[in-house]
Amino acid sequence: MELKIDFRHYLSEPHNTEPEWAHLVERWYQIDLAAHVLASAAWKWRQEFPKPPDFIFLASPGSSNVTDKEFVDSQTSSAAKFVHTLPNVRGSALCQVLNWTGPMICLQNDPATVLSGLSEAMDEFSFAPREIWVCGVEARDAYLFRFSLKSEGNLILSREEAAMATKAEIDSAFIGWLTNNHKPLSKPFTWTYGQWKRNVRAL
Amino acid sequence: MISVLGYSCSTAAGSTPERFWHALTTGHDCRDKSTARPGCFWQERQESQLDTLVYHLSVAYSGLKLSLESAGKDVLKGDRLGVIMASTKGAIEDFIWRDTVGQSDFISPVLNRFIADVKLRPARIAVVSNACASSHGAVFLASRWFESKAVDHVLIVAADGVGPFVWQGFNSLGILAKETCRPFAGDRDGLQLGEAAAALLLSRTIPADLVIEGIAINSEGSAVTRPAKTGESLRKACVGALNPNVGAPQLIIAHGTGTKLNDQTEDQVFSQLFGRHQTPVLTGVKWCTGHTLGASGAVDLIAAALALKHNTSFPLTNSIEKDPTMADRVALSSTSIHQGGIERVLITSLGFGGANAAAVLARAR
Repeated sequence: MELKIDFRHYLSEPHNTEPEWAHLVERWYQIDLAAHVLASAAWKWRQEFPKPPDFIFLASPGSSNVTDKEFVDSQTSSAAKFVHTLPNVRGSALCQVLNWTGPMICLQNDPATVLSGLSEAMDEFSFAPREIWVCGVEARDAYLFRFSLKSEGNLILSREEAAMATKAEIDSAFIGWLTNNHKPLSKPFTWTYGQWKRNVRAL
Repeated sequence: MISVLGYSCSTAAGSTPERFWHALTTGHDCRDKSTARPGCFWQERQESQLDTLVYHLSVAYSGLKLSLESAGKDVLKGDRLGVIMASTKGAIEDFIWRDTVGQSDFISPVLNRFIADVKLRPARIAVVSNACASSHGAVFLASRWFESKAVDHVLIVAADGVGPFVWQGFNSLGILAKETCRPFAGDRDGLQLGEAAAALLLSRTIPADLVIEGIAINSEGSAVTRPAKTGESLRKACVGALNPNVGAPQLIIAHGTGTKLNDQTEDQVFSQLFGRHQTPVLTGVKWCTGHTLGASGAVDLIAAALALKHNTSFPLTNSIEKDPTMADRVALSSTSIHQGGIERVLITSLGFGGANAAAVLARAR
């Protein structure tokens, strides 16, 4: 049995024209940039991954900072803008595009928000192996880590084993993405569970 | 099963659970001391919102610690402790007005300062921001940590304050009550904002008199600021939290914001689950403390714990006449409150962005 961790990253720019997913999101024209980017990415994910997630961790670096600032600067006290100052609200657009309901937890822990999401997902997977997504958005980038089973069976985690991994083994490009403004990686990648433990948990 | 080892809170009713209970049972609307105006009454005594929230969290934590020590259950210093903070906007006022937006999110600095101030060394921490259902989200995450045996105990701290940012935002939504908050009343016209800090200690290894029998969260995408008309997501959360094998709750502490849509949806879901009878009795706390946002679920859980402790309930004091479309279970100001018979309480929570949640608190069997 093997855990598959699939990483997708989208650089998505909202357009002035109506998006393909407009019919799925109520008042799509009122959502903020983060929700728009996440909805655009979810539209692609929906086509790539027919199996819906069982659990979603929403983990966006910088939280809703951009929209918070816009709300204050706008001077107009826009209700539509205000609701998007809640960092979980972008998840509503995600749910609508995926036509999904289920458990979703919005996590914050800057500068390690993404890592927190990954860590929670890994532990969740360890005792309840199923389709778990960690996703989020920062500026115009949306990301998704998808945890899923490659084959049937039970997974037994060893925390000690994970703790033994050393910094030297960590993939520098991945750390760079996690800690250095999340610049897009050159290509999507897939790790085995063993690689995952070495590369992420040791952080 | 998750044990509730202790709890404490600081609300507009005072800095102890006992003061909170006294206000609930004597019909004291605390909103005058809270946030009927665009300013933070807590913050007037502190330099920053971060200081304010940490201070009130420390007050709640101290109350919890004292109760644990007197019960001989002080596990807070152990190395099998996790800490989860629940909040919607944390110290947003500091970040937004001091122009430090972009340096960090606005909640985790509050948790980090709190942990340092009270000298905890948790094995694990997390910040959950599921809008006004954040506290339930934190309890749900704690249940997952227990399931994986990652920790033995989880301290949940929840806090939100109301400054210009939050007040302006809710005002823009047009859902603030003109006078009093009157949940489930026919003439309800919105919510009152409130501030609170709460601390709950949960355990998977130490038994206690109270247990969380069930906890479930469910997110939906029907709309950003209102639940689906069918209430399906909230119903799923309630079904996930309720255990039909142990019987129905005798009391519901509803989210009960006093807005038209929230209360209507909750009534609809409770009617689907329990019929339109007088039981389980439905009440709530927001008429008393105001809507304490991300802390509201923790405050409601503490109200449920107090109802179980005293084996009685309290009415929605400001609600005089029931909405005629709603079931008969609403505890209005004129409803006689009977002593006894409370074994389990259903506590619901709804948040913007389609966050729905439910928990069941019960006596340990």
